Amino acid sequence: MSKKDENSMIGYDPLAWLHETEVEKQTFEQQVNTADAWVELDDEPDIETGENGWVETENSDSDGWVLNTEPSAEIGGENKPATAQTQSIVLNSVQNIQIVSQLHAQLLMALASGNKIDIDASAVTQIDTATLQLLVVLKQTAASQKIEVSIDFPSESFIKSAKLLGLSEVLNVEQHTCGLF
Amino acid sequence: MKARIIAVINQKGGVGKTTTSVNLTHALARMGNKITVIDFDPQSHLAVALGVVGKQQSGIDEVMLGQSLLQQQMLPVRDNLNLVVAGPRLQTLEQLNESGAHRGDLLQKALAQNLENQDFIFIDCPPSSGVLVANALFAADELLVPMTSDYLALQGLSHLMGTIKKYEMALNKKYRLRLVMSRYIPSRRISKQVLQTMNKYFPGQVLATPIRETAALAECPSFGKTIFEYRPGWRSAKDFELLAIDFLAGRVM
Repeated sequence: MSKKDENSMIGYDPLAWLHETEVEKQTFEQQVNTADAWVELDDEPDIETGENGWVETENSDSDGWVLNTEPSAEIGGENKPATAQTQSIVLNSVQNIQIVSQLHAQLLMALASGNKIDIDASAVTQIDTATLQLLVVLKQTAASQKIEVSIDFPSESFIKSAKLLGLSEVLNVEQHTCGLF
Repeated sequence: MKARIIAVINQKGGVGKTTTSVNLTHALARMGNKITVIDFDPQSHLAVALGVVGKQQSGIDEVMLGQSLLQQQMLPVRDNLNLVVAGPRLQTLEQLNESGAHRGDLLQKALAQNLENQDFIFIDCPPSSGVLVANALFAADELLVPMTSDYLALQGLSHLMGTIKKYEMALNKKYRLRLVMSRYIPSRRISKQVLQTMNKYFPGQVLATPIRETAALAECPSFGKTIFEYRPGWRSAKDFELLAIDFLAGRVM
């Protein structure tokens, strides 16, 4: 948030996030570039998959963990560049109970590190009750923590499943962009 | 050459979307550009402002429902300026639920028809963020965002930018974004500071001429006239003439 100038008539600056997002995006890209450079130096880096879709690497930062930016078939979804403010999660084509625990871990991380979570549901072709239930709980938990959760561009399959279970309203999924991606 | 498709968009009401759509398009048409402007607000204020008041006149609603071609709905309302009215069924489009009808790409498909004889297609969006605005965002390549010079307009712009960024990411395209300082009151300190804030976050994207708040701009819709017909030569007409030049030449603050 921008500092308030004594003579300014604009107190809280609602557009400040635009600059923050840019800075954080650049930082993220720098981190990715650094990681890429390191991978080129060593053909077989010693990477150990940790919980929540993170990987531990030899050149990790001080806490020993960096975000795995490569999409993984074994992980609940791909993470897009995230900011401290907004966490972005992309749902897989098939979201079912077999990978719901991984999605759970991702959502926990997102809850812990952002004040807004964007979930891209455009690629979903199958989604089961376990995943939808998890998303409902996420919505409830996030609301109690004043974190905004947005399910963006839900696919027709997502909408259909949510509607069938009577969850489209609680998940606040809109139909106007379905089936376009 | 393919017509440029511009959505005049801001989910906040009263920021000057329709005033900008009416007077900017007429200014561009007077300069010889071939313009089609679509009244995408079920309230039909754009049509009224251009002097078209037939409530049962079909328009973009029929085109989006696949029952008519866009060319069939174009009404020549001024030299070089065509209007496509909202139509009585546009309001219900947001509530339609049958398969295929409740989609975001209806307008995009409607505008994909042969419009090569047009230079610009303007979409005057409603003050909302529902299915109609989604359609406009799918269809448009350029966004023109009118902004008033008050604090809540900044708040609204923040929300709008969040929406735009989501669409850019999902559609994998980057909109050409231009902002218009509308209803500007130069004597107010807050107005100047809002303008400064806009320039800070959108450098090179705020069109050079602010449209000053005047009584004439508020009055002309009730006569179905643009500012060039209602008060030709007055300062608001000059503002919009300059804005049209800004728009064509990419002249920014």
